[in-house]
Amino acid sequence: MSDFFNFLLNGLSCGAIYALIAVGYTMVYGIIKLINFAHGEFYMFGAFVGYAALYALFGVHPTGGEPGFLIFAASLLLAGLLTAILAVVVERFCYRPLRNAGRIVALLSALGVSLLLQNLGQQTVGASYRKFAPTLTEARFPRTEVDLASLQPGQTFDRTVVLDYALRDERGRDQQRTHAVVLAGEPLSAAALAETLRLAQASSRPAHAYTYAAVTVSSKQLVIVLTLVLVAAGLYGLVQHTRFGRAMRAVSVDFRAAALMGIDVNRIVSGTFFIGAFVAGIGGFLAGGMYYERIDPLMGLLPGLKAFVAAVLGGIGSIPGAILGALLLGISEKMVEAYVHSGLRDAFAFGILIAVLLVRPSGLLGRFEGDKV
Amino acid sequence: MDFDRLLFFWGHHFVLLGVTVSLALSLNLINGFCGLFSLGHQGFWGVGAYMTAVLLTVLPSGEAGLFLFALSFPLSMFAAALCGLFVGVPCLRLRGDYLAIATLGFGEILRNVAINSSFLGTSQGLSVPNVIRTTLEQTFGLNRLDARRGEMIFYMLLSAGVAALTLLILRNLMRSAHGRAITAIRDDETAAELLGVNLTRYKVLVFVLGAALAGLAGAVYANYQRYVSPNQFGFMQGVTILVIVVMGGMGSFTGTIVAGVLIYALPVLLSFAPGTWQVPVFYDPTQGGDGWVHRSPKDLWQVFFSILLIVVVLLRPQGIMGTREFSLAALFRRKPPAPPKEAGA
Repeated sequence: MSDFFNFLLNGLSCGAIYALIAVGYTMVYGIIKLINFAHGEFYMFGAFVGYAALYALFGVHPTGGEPGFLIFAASLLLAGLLTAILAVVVERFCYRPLRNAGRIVALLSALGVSLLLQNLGQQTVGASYRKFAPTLTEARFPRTEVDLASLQPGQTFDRTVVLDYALRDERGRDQQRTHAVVLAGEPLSAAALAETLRLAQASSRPAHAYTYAAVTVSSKQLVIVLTLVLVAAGLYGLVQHTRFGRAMRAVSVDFRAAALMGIDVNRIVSGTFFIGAFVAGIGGFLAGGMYYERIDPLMGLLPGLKAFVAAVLGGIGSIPGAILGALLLGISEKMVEAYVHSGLRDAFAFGILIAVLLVRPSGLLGRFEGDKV
Repeated sequence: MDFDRLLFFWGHHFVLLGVTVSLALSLNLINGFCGLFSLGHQGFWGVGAYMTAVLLTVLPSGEAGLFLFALSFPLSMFAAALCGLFVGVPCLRLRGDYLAIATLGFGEILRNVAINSSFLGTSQGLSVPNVIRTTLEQTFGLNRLDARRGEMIFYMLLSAGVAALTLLILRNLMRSAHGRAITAIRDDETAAELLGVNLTRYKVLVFVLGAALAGLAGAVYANYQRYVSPNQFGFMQGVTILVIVVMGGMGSFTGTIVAGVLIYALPVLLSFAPGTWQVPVFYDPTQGGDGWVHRSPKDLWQVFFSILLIVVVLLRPQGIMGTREFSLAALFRRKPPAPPKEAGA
């Protein structure tokens, strides 16, 4: 049973990553009825900007120590901002001239931008994976500390025990490292205990032993889910309680009428791209950089498509729908992976897409819009 | 001998060009002439190729080899057409961009199934026996080199023949009353329906025929490459075909052929650029050396290709030819006919 809840939590954080991308998809579609194929590439771009910022501006080497909170936050912000600017430029030069040219033509342009960003990435930064600097120590919660001095070699425990020691990095901060994991019911080996204490003594930092609850969540997952909550709250406030949000809603209901009412439609569209890509950019930094710690120019392709599936599932055009759809997709994907067949995850996601399109094209929370003749 | 190098190099590209053009022609029927925007054409192509591979590997070949080889073409068409029917009937209720995404999802599902099926060789793929060369060596007693030459010439003829056959079928279809019904669906679906065009019937017909022709191209491809794997039929391959259709003009067969030759030939020609032509594209201090990343013109083709797509869409969304066809007869006609009205989007 505890396995089930661990899968659920993993699925939730995976869904939160999809949600950070899906929000931008759904906002753009809501306003100009364009499937912005390049949105997954904005996510990729955010991860690379974060990489470059950590490396070039702050000197955090991929194999070196962990950045402090300020550097982490500054890189995150920079990733979001530069991605947002890229999106505004893309919209201005590749989508705006085609606004009245029909959906398929605009879709082709979006496909072109997506290809361009992928290929440009492969030819400049290279097609192979890059290791992202570790930005956050992986720790799992809830946990309780066990007094290391009280542990005896050969002792058994009814819960998993992890022996940690700390290293001091070049900035003088503690880096937690795990030396040994003792599974529930297994005896603690004398060598592991002695080695942990030796490593702790060598770095002259305290060592720790923890026991973990049966269901745990990692610090990285917490950061991602927390970010999503903040983004969702921010977007809700923006859309429902600001002039910009009201204009956005008006444009999504009727583009021309909104323009006739004196709304600067171009500014609203640019703003929408800015916000959507900002969220996708920080999503790329958090997911590709912090969570998976490996980035490559094609990393946006599959999450981008999945996020689109999520947006359709939730009802394209609806922000709460996109978040709900993304969380549902993430959770059900992990369940399929765990209980059905790990290789069928992607086929399952696209199966959901086709099923939703056929059975309920307006999605879970979307409004039905009949085709206008 | 120099002749062999020419034959094997250009012959190889000629065969693949034929496959590419056939695929683009059948996609143009779906996307260009009928206005159904499909992003899953690579899936039908893959189904045809896999059908051939399964047929030739699972059944004992040997003496029956040539018979199975001949059988692989109609069977691949049939398998792909069945798939087209299976996808087409439910998906054709969707319009425009939704159809595009649903077909894209379908293509990815097929690839995923192939990756996870041990019968289809998982991600390793399947090898296909070389029926033609075996026949040439064993039945006709040719030596190894002659058999290779014969095989290449055979496939050049086959590939060109399949492309020509595809063109002939599609051109005749489009010149018939059925063809006008199909174009009417693209130009105005509601009006076409009101004029008595059976939308479902024609859409399914277009989808199934397009899929069957893609399956035929898949059979040629699998037999020639003698190897199929899921990554050969990915989204990017589909996009390349789509770009050919868009650049040539959605609704122009001659445009597709011209764009197909251009887009296929340009990277091949760029690969002849001297090795010293290295363009510094990016500064990356993590890569060692002076930090500058250099690329050859052939590598940069992909980037150029994407820019070309954007530029064509922005400046000439109807493609090189629009919906017109190039014909020699029209060139020599005294009075040029009035240009046909461009189809409204």
